[in-house]
Amino acid sequence: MPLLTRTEEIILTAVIILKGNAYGITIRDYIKKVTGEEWSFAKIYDPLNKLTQKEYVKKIEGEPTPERGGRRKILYEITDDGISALKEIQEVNKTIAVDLKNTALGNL
Amino acid sequence: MKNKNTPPKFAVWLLSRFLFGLELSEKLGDLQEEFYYQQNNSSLFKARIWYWKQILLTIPVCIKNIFQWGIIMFKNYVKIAIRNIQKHKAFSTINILGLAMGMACCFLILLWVQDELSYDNFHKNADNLYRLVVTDGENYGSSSPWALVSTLKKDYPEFLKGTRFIQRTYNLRFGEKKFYEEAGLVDPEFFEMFSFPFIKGNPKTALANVNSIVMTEETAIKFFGSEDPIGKTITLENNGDFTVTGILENVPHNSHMQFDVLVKPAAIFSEQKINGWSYEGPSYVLLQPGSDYKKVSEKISNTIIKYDKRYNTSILVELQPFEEIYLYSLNGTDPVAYVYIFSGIAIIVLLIACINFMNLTTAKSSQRAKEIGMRKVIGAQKKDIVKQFFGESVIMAFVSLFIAIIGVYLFLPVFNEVAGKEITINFLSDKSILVGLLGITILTGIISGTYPAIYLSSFRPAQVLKNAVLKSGKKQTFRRVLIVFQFSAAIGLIICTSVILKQMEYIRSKDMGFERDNILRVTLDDNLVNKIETVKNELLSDKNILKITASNNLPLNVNSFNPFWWEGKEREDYESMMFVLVDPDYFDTFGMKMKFGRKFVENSKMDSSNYIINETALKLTGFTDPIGKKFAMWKNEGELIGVVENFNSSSLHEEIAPIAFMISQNTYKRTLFAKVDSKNIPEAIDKIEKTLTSFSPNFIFEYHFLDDDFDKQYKSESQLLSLLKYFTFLAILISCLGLLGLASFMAEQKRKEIAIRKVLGATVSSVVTGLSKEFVMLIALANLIAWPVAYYFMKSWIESFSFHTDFGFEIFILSGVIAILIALLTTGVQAYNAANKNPVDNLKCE
Repeated sequence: MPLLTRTEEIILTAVIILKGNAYGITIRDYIKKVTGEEWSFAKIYDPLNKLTQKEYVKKIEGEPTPERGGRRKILYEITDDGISALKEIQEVNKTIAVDLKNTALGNL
Repeated sequence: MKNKNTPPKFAVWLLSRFLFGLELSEKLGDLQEEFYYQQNNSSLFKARIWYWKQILLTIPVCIKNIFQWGIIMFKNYVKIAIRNIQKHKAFSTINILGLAMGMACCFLILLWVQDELSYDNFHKNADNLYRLVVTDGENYGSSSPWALVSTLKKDYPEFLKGTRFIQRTYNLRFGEKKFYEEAGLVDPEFFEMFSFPFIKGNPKTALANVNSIVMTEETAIKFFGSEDPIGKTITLENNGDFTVTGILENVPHNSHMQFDVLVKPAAIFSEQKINGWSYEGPSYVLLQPGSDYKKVSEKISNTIIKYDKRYNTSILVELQPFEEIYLYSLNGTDPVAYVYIFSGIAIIVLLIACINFMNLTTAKSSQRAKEIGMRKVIGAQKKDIVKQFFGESVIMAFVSLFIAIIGVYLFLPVFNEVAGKEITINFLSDKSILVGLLGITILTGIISGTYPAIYLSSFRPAQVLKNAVLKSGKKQTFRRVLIVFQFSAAIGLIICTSVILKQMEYIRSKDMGFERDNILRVTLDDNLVNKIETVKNELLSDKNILKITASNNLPLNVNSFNPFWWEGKEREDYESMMFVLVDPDYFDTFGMKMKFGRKFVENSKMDSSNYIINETALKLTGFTDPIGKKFAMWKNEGELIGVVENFNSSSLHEEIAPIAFMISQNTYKRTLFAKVDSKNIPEAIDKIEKTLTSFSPNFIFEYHFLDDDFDKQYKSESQLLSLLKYFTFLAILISCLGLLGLASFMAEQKRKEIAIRKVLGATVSSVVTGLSKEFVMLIALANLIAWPVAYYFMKSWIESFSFHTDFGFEIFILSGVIAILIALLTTGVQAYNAANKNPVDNLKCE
């Protein structure tokens, strides 16, 4: 399996953090919080689709609410595969961070 | 929820085009929630803008997604299709072969039709070109008076350009080389009107001089080889020397104007003649773009009446659009009818092939039922199954296309031979063929896939997975209907072919009213025409040459109308009749019998202004005692001295025309007919050649047999017939292929039933009868449908001939019996194989 992209990593993290309340709106809010950027929904759905195809997340049907025009929520939940993929990228991130510290840049 | 304003409806609708079900409600729900939030924080307008932006950004993602899934499913469909083809090899072979044959047939006909329709459309000015035709109200003629073009150009501004195009065969000589070539006598504007491109020479000046000649590349190579032809001098029969001033590209085969060389009319005929009002050949004009030719036609219709004061004529001028010349004949059957007939046959043959596919696929359906059940359980919807089976039939169609193209390439030379065409295929240069092929392939896939797709997708998963037997009475009925249709078409084709065959046989053997066996036809040159009497006497001295005569016309092809007057009519009140110039020995040579009166007397001046007419002409005059009555063509008054029995002068499609005969002066008798002894034909031909060349050293001896000329008249019909024969054969073959597949499948399905029957004591023959009975019944039913339809079409076709045979019931019965026998043979072999197996093997399996 190829490594997760940065976007996928952030979205997976969001799904974990949001614990059972991860859907379009909340994921987008979380991304705004950590990156300070307002992403379009399209930019979220595309990686979410890919993650679903790779079975890193699964979809759960939520209850319909009036502010959604009576439409059901789709909640996302991380799978075991998703967790191990996230762990893998975390390892890489850690290694990169350590390597970086040992260079001149690390002392800045 | 302070504000009840909803998101833009159109944007919601737009997204719902790309997403479905839960996917859609997820996105719309998320967006709507955020939309209200935005709306409360800023303005409604900004929220709407934001919503639109989000929707438009989401759509590309959706499309990408659809494609990803589409490709995954497509791969699966292709894989399953290939597995199915491999699993049932014999079955797939029958299926694909049938389709391929049907498609190959269709392509060949498509090529033929395209070729027919392509006639004369290569001219840049084709839309504004017209031929001048003349009519007496009933008959049309393509020959127009010499002076017509120049008169029209002078009188009406709509006529931009015009040319005459007189076709003559001349003997051309260059040094030792001499050939007969087709010459076109044209005016210099010819090159500005028609797109016959020059390879060498200047179109503007090429025919500026009277002694200039322009020739096609092919002709130039024949005479001059690799030398530069420009400036060379070539001799044209007795008309002097001509200088080559231009070389044209060869005339395309799909041009109705064919020629090898072009010269000016003035090079051959006198000024007086070419500015007069006699008829020699067709004329063409170029109209101002945008003119309404019907209106112009009306305006000019009286031109001949206005200018040709020689007699009180009632001949009108009309314009015929250039592109119609080939497909629509002036009199009689239009060749365009054949284009329709063959297009119809193409569709029928393709339909027969498609029906095979439908029948075989649905027959096999029980074997795919579980697959469909599984797909549905996993979540495939009806439309997905439909898509899958359409996909499968389109894949089959493309495999067939590949085989069909190979077949077309292999059979094209044979096809060209049979159809008398020079069709070549070039996919790269001709996009329309490519589009046509793809179109037919996809159409075939869709037609043959529709029924299986609808039928198979309607399976209920629970039933098929429980292994419930498919109770499918409806399916059986539909399959039967298809078989009946298929065989009705095939039987109809057999009947039509038989009737056409019978009619052609009838024509060949019909007593034309004159003899045409062992008669040689030779076109004379001017030297021989001048010495015709001496030539004739010299030839008659040979014992192998029985009779000899010279005339201006073939008895087969009498087509020059002239005005006639006879006793009892008002002066200046003319009626048109055919007119033939003959020798006194004309009637003897062709074995024509006199009804009344006498023939012309040999070597006598007394008959020089007398006439002989045929029976139709006699009826027209209404004379009961014609001999000695006054009779005149134009103003040449003479007496009627005899009436000859009717003979068929032109196509048997037409009634016998009224004809008047007159003794000719030598100059008009350019055709020599010699009746030779059938036992010594080569010697006779040798003698004629030697005699003629001794009188005219430069003469090129070419001869034709009159019965060959006769056959040539029915060439289009006999070509149609042989094409029809092949296509009928193919239609039957394809139908039988389908029947073969079905029969083998049924024998396979009923193998246990057969085994049990045999165990209980059934004989092989009773099993075979049981299996074949249904098919025979269906084909018997197909007969009942095919007969009236074929009868209707053949009745109207055969009545287009003035002389036709009758077709009785025997043709219908025979065609039906042939179809049943073929079907019986096809299914019988399968049934026999099944019935001959050891019942133990069939019962113990499973």
